[in-house]
Amino acid sequence: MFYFMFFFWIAVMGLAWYAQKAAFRLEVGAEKAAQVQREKNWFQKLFYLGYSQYVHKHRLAFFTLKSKFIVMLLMLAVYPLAGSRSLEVTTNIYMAAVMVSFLVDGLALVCFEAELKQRDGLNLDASGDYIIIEADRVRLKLTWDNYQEEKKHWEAVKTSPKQKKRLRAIRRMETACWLAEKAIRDYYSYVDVLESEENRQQREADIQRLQAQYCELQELFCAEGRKDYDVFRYSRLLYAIEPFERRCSVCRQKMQQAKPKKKKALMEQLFREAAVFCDGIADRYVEHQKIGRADCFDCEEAVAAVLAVYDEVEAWMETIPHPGLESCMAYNYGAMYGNGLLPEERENRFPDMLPRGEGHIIYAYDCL
Amino acid sequence: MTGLTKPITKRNIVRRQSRGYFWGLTALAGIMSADYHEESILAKVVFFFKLMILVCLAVYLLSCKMLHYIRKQEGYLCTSMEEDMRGVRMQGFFSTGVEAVYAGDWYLLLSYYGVVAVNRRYIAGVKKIERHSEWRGRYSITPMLTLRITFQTVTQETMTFTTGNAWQAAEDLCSWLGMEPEERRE
Repeated sequence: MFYFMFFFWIAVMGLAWYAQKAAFRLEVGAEKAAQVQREKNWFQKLFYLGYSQYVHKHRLAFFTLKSKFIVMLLMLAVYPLAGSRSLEVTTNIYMAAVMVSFLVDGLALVCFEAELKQRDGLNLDASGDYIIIEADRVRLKLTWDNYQEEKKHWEAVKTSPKQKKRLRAIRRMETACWLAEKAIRDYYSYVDVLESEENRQQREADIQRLQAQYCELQELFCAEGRKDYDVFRYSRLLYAIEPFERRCSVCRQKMQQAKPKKKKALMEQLFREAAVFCDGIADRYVEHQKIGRADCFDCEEAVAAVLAVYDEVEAWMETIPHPGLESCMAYNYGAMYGNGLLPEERENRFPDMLPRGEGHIIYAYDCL
Repeated sequence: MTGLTKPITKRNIVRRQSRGYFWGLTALAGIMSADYHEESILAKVVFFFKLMILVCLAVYLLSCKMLHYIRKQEGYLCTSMEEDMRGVRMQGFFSTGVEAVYAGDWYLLLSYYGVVAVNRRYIAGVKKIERHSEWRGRYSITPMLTLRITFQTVTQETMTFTTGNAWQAAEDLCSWLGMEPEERRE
């Protein structure tokens, strides 16, 4: 119970901090908020000290949240003292307190978000964009800056003799890169509003820069001796074929040395590698559709690699029959057709799995 | 997860429209069975399973009407939706918005708020498309918006389906059917 209370307590403090952030952004707008945040140090950012001059409309809520955050931290600090008499009773009291503050913080956050959304529906900001898009644009810019900062940190750490330290710096760069990708996905998802040619060029430039960053990270990991590490693993927009081919070649080597009894399992493993990779490609394709660049998504090479592996498995199946795997393959062909990844010359392979005259459209909910 | 991976069956359609209720009620059952103090852990587990039966019953009752309409169409036309839609796939668990899937004579609008499943040969006309808003709960800030589509069937009856708030999806369904709705209420 104590551990549950402890983690819940920390989570609610995080919620309070986030609610303050939302209130502050609501007051001054995203761009001004980022500008003000840059001037403050970490202590002022943590406790929101010196922000009163900017907050006017939600002054009471902001002050309440701020003082509650500090009080919660103090209560956590005096917990061992308060629980010296009876730990159970103290834990129960703390539990009640944290549940109440969870409700208060959650309600505040929901109200701020709703107000932001409502204002977004009504009027535009100075540059003629919706406020919510403005916030995403600012976040995109901030993530690039964050990546550059992490890179500077890496430059400082690079010559350190400890490998652990170096790897941690690279991981931090990786996190920054992933956040930049998240920002890209969020910002360019407003396809209808950002239709202009200028935005399209900007988007392509951003994607190229992201690709360059990922490649750079991959090289850094390779230099540290982590050749099996795949930085594109958690990416939802980009991919690399080399790790997939490396895994497949490992499977092939095992296959050559294996006894006939084990070959069936290895065949399944090889097939699974290809199927999982193909699934990843389909997911990335859908993500590209969401940001409106499905036409620019280049996946022919990857699909060719997957189909080459499928052909190889089929060639193995002539000597080692495996009907279960064949039906799985037919299913995957159907799925590739449905995702629009299957080349035309392959459509005769499993014709029963490809229904004709069917369509698939995804609509976003209306914003009113 | 976001690729088109799930086959279209009645079971998967029901999962799609009642996943909120299912996971919410499952969490409630978990909390209730955690507070259920008995001497043996087995009693707690049995209590949880009893509650889960109730959860499944609730999910069944919520999707009863939609399944009834599908079965009615299948019975009248002597077809099977699952057979006709074999090989067509929909999105997985983390899907958003309204998803339109059509193959052969069937047209489906899949969403979290409800599913529309109609056969072209069973529909005689579209009576009404209505944007329905309701305040769920006393302290809710924003209303829950859904679309309600009413069809006229060839057996001179009406069928009303609910789906997510995407007006264009309903318009596209009408244009696919080749029918103009008699009434639009936004």
